[in-house]
Amino acid sequence: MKASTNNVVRRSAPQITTRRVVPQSTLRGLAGVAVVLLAAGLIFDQSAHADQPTPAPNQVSFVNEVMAVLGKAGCNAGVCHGNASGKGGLKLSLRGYNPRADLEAITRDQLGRRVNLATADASLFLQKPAGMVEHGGGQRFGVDSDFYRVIHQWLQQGAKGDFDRAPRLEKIDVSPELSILAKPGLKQQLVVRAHFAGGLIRDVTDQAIYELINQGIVDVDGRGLVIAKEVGEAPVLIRFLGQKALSRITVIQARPDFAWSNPSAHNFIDTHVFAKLKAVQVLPSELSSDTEFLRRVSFDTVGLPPTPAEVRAFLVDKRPDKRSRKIAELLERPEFADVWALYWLDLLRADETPGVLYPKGVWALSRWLRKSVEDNMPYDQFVRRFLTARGSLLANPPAALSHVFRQPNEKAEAIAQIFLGTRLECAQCHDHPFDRWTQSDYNSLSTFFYQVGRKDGQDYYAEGQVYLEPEKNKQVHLRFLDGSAVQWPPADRLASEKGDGVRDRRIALADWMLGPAKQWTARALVNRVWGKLLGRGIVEPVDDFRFSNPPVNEPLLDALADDFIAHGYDFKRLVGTILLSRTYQASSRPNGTNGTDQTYFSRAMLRRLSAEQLLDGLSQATGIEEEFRAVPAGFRAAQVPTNHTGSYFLKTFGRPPRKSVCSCERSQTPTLPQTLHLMNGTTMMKRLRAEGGTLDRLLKAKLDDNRLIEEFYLHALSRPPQPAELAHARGYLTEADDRAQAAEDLFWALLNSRRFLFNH
Amino acid sequence: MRVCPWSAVVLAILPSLGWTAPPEIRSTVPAGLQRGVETQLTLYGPGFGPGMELVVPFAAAIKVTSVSSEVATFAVKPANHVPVGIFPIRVRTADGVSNMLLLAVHDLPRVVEVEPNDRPYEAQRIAWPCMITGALGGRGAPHPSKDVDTYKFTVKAGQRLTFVSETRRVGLAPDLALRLRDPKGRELAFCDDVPGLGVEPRLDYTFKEAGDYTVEVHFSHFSYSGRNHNYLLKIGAFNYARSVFPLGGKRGENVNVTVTDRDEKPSTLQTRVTADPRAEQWLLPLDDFPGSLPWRMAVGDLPEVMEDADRTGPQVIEWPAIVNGRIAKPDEMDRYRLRVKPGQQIRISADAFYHGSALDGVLRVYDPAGKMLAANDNRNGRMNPDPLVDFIVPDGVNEVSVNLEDGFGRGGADYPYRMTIEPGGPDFELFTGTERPRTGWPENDAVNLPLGEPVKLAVRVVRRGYQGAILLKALNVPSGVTIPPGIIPEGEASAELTFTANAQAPASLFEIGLVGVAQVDGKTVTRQVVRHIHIAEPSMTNMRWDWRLTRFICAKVEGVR
Repeated sequence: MKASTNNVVRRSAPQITTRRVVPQSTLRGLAGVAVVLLAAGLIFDQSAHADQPTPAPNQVSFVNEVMAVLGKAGCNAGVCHGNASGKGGLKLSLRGYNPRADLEAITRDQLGRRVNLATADASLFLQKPAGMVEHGGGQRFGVDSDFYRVIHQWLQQGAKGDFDRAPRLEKIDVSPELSILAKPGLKQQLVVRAHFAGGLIRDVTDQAIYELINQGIVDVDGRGLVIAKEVGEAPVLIRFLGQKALSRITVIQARPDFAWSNPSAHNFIDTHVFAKLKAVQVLPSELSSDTEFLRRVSFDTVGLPPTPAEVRAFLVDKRPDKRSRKIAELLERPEFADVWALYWLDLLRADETPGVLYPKGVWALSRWLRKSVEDNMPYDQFVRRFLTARGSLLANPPAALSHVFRQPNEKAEAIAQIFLGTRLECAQCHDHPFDRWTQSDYNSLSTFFYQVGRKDGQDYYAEGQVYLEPEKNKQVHLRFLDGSAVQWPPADRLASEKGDGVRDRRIALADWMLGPAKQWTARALVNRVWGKLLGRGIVEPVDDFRFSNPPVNEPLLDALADDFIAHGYDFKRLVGTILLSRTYQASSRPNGTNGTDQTYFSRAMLRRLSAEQLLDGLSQATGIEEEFRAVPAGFRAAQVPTNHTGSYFLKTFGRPPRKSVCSCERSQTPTLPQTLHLMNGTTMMKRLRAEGGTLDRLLKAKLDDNRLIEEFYLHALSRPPQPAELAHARGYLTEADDRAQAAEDLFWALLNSRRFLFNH
Repeated sequence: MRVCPWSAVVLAILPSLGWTAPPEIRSTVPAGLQRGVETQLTLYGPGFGPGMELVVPFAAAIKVTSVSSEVATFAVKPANHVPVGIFPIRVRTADGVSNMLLLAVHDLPRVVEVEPNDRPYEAQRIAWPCMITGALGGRGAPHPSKDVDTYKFTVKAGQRLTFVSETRRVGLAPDLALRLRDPKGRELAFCDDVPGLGVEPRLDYTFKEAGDYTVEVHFSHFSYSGRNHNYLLKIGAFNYARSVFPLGGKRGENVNVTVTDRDEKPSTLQTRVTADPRAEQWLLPLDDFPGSLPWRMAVGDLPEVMEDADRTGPQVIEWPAIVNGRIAKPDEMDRYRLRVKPGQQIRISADAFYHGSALDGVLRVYDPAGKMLAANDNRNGRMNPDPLVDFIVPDGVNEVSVNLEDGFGRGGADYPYRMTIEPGGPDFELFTGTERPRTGWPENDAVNLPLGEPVKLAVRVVRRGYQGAILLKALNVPSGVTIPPGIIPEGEASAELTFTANAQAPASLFEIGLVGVAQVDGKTVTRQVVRHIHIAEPSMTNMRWDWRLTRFICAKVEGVR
């Protein structure tokens, strides 16, 4: 199956068209024309089959017309009657996913008071949205509108359903699918066609619903006219009768004198990034300086800034490949495993709360994760271990997944979000409003976990063991998210004399995720890694791969995934490849073209250091370790695996509580307590003044001002001071009555500066 | 002063005599002694006093060094011939005999931990082989949850060492983890729990290069429970037994036991199963495997059958019998066939866990049509993960299949089992003492008998389908002691036995047994009264440090203070 642009492998890539199709006309007129022409066998090269359902002439279709009005007028939206509890006593299915229930509600509920079949005009169903009587939702359409006429005629015709007769809508498409608008203010008319079974195609541009995914880049009116406002990516989601299509609009600031600067590509990543930058006429920033690179790559790999000695050594190193050597060295440091073990602990919601994993379970999982990163376990094995884990949480820590996510549907949601980057939870109650997932898809994925049971383990402090319930070993029909299916277990496994494990349905899921869907699985992981290192995913949020949330650079994402798979799912190699790219190593300083770019990776994004990076960075800079609850001395913040660390600092700076698998749980939002705590909280003040700390040590060394200032800069900002900075600081020290106090002030100021707090 | 529960009963009966409670041992330091070497053994607990004696079940020279009301020190030198193992010890004063604690006897030089030894540069240098007696936390050490005891040792290239904790097995609280580091501080190996050893860690490592290495000892997840944080860590170039097969034998008969060592090499020990009619288990000495303690073996009274590992198809078993088998490979399922009659009550249990097997068995029974008749995973939750099924053969069924597998699809040499197939039906179990002690300190299982005063002991029954009366009797009652029979009436849950000792009762400690006899479906059924005690603290897990006593230590109490 061919992967599509939006990560749903079951559909083929849509054709891209740029020409307009059919001019607009009224809804009824076009339908009538289409019917006549179909009957005449004219236009559209598909023939209407004699056995395909066709509407009676002039009969308003409830399924295809009335429901379309309800959608377009917003009646069945989540804020109105599509709400879980309805509105004003009328409950419609959200966005019309259940027309039969909707017909029942409109015509039968409350003794049918909403419809007046004798006098259609008197129907509340008509009067309310037309504003003729009081309506909480206001006037949705006028009495002289097509919508009114459709509803009116339907009521006059008896308000019947036509579920068995109405042509079935198979899909909708939009033209153009991709477009680039050269500057804000330009317009693009979208055209939407609905494809019905039997070959009927209708222009539904005026009836489709248009939703903006990224607000502020473009506006779109109810007739599909897009107006560019700002530079950026603006996917427009189009809905019609439960089907969806996507038009991807890119607004650029065209530059007539744009000339590509032709920077050298370090690897294939840069090739794809540059291709996009050229298309949007943005130049990449220059390469970062050595100190910028060193600090950034140190934090991103080992969670720590470089020491002054490391900075000095790097600066005097004249080898042309020193950056790649440094990357290779950092990837082999034990702290690299700490960083990624912590990443996965957060993602897997490793909660030490009694009843979840207990501290012993979290430690066991932490050690396993750390070892798997250290040993560079191939990612496909990593995924398979989690998907199919059984047994004691302590002996087989990947079994933790079944302890954190207990119910089959919870496991399904977690697996989808963690390993496929797909958020399925909306589809639990109804078809996903922003993606293609149906409730059936949701339930199908859940069935892979129905066999899994939990029981107490022998060790009281590490709850639980995961096993397979043998009563559920029957052969069943399992359907994957791409629509493919399998009978499981296969006959040979069903008849096998081996134990339950060979009939484990999760094996089938793992085989699919690492087989037919391996591109999907790989894209999800490479996107996470990219997001962690670059500050933004190619799909953002990184765990929200969605039809209506396409990648900003799909060829880049595909290339990364292909490379990852081709090299045996080598995780360290993936990280190294990204770090080696010019894109990663670009400066954060903007040029004349990319000052507002937060999307195309033309420059490094400013990222506030994470809670652990900040605390460990502070500890290293000041020479004073942090003490944590229930871990020995010497542990860094990135090494503490439990979520109840007892650390005010970590909590204040956004360490996740591990109640959600969402990547958004780790908060980078700046807050006032953060600022105040850094300025004069205990974390900073006890470190600055501590005996034996960096400040104390440097003062006792009786360095001259220049040398002292240089040491401060190297410890705090991982670089020497610039001449102006040196002069300014020296002046401050010289003029101070108390040199020691002035030195403390200076060091404090550097540690509170944005240059320290941000990864840049 | 803390008073243990059943002693409160005694106090309630004997207020006029002013008899004070018997002594109580709460901890010992060290928890292990080297045989042939005199060691100062310090005991802590209330109720000590002049004339106190240390009671040990092995030959030893014992001298009192000092005694106060709560601390007593003895110089103890176990005889050279004392077998390596774990032994119960008690103390005795004029007020009676104490509870039981465990003491290890080994043949290794003892190394006493010296703090501070938390950071690599502070590591305590040791020579191996040795038995380290240490403690997490304590004087000069960080808080127990943060304490990491580090020991440095030297090896030559190619040397292989075993590091094994004998902590929980001696009734100490810590749930330990071990970590090996190379001279540069890089982690080489880590171990938390080893299947078959409960929560004890064991590391087996071959050092490629010569040099100084370190081993770290700390609480498994840097949090702890319990009041004592002492541990024993054995280090040496030891072989050890990974598993034994079979896991037991028939009472009084010879059995050939295959011991699988650390490299999965088998060797055979010829030995004899205990003939003691009341023993539920016996210890298999493993002298050739110094890294292991004697193996806890099962004893049965039914015919023993060995699994036919070469069979194709289910093995037919003549029952009642005990089948000794092994889940030899991952995802293996052992299948047996039994000839049965409709209406028969059958009980099948697969014991593994408490005999050191890594197996977590799942039992299922099917009729010839494939319908499941019975299934079980854990017979008693955390208390016992081994399966047990009790079922009645339905009409029309003359044969059943019995399937046993590991619940998590594992298998190998470490997965032996003993499957008992016997007639089922109504039955009962008898207990004394508290099922799950709630007090902070070990319960006193001894029966102290002040002269002339009756002491009552409650016996409880857990009825498994049998509701009739049960006659309670004492066995091996010496002269000078009377224990009249008692009856647990029909439908009732308990009864009391009354112990009375006079001046003719033995001066030394003596053991008695208690049994319950009932007529069940026309047959005489005798069951031992068992006492379940936690040697360590109740906040620990319920794992194998949960002892079952079938003999009761009694002491005449003559001194009244």
